[in-house]
Amino acid sequence: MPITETGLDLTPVEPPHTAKKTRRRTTLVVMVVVLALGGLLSQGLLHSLDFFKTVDEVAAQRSAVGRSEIRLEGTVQSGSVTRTSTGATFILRGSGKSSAFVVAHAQPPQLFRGNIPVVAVGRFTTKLGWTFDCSQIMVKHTADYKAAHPQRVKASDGTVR
Amino acid sequence: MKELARRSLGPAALLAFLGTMVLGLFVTPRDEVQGNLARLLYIHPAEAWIALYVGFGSATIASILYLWPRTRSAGMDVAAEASVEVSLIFILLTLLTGSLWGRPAWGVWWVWDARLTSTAVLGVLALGYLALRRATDDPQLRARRSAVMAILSAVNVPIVHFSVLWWKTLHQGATVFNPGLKLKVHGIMAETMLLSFVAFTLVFAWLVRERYRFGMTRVQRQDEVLAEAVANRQQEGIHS
Repeated sequence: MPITETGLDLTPVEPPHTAKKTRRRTTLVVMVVVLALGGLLSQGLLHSLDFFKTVDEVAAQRSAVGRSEIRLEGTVQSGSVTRTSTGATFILRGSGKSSAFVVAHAQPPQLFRGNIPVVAVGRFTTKLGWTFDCSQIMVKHTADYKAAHPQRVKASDGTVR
Repeated sequence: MKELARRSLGPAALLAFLGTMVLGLFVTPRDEVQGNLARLLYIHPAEAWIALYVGFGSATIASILYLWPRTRSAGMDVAAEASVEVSLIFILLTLLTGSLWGRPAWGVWWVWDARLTSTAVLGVLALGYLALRRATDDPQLRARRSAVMAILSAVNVPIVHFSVLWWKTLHQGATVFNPGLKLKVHGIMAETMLLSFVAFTLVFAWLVRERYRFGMTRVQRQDEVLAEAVANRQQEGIHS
């Protein structure tokens, strides 16, 4: 037993066995994080990174889409909305000439109205037709925020503050 | 002067936050499309700003400074931990207020689009960072591993930011940090939104500062306990 001149005991002390425990805990944490991330990403990538197809995209590949379930995005045509007891019917148009007639079997959300972008979840009733049977409507509001003024006064150039 | 600045941070944060709430709830007009629902504009984007850029930004910088030998210190490690902890709170608030906004606006509480999914991923990474810290006993090993994890996790921040540009998402595009940097909010709504960013940044700074002080006190206490234990051992050796 090594003893110094001042009587201090310098016998090596066995270090605590924490290295193995730490490694196991770290491995467990990493595994849980990887599993959680895998779970999240698998949900997010279940169909594709794109959440929807636009009406114009579907028009370009109508036969490929067929009757498979999709999320169809477009703008609700002004004046085309008819509320029914189970939902609504309306025309969903793309930025070009394409449009789809949507029959919604769910109540639309409170922001739903003409001239607003929406995403309709459902499928076309026939392989090549343009009637879309929809089980859910989601409003895709824009990033523009303007004050609501029904009698908004416009400047001579047509702009508002 | 320094002491005055230190003492004013809390009151300034509170004042700015209250100002935001008063303006947001009672002064700003309803939105043309979303009505009163758009008042979440004065909370949700600011929370996301803190969660992504300020929070993870601070954690990344502190982690890099810890890994660089010249600037390595316990303080950097504590600062990184404090930033991630507070950032996690804001990530959760962002997801919560986003859901509260999404339900009436979109019609759903949650969707697995790229923006929401990548934000949830950031939350899991932040939780993973904190769990990793608790799983490692050795302080230096803990600090090193955490620093690496914080830097790797920060890779997700630009993914969250650009998700609305790279992919088609239900979540709207950027109101402020869009490619043209064109502000899509008008009048007093824009001014209140700007105030909310300032307010939440001050709140973040205050929270991180308090958490940092607590963390440094703990580090100093551990050092004192260690020094005391060494001294006791030496005394035992002398008297044996």
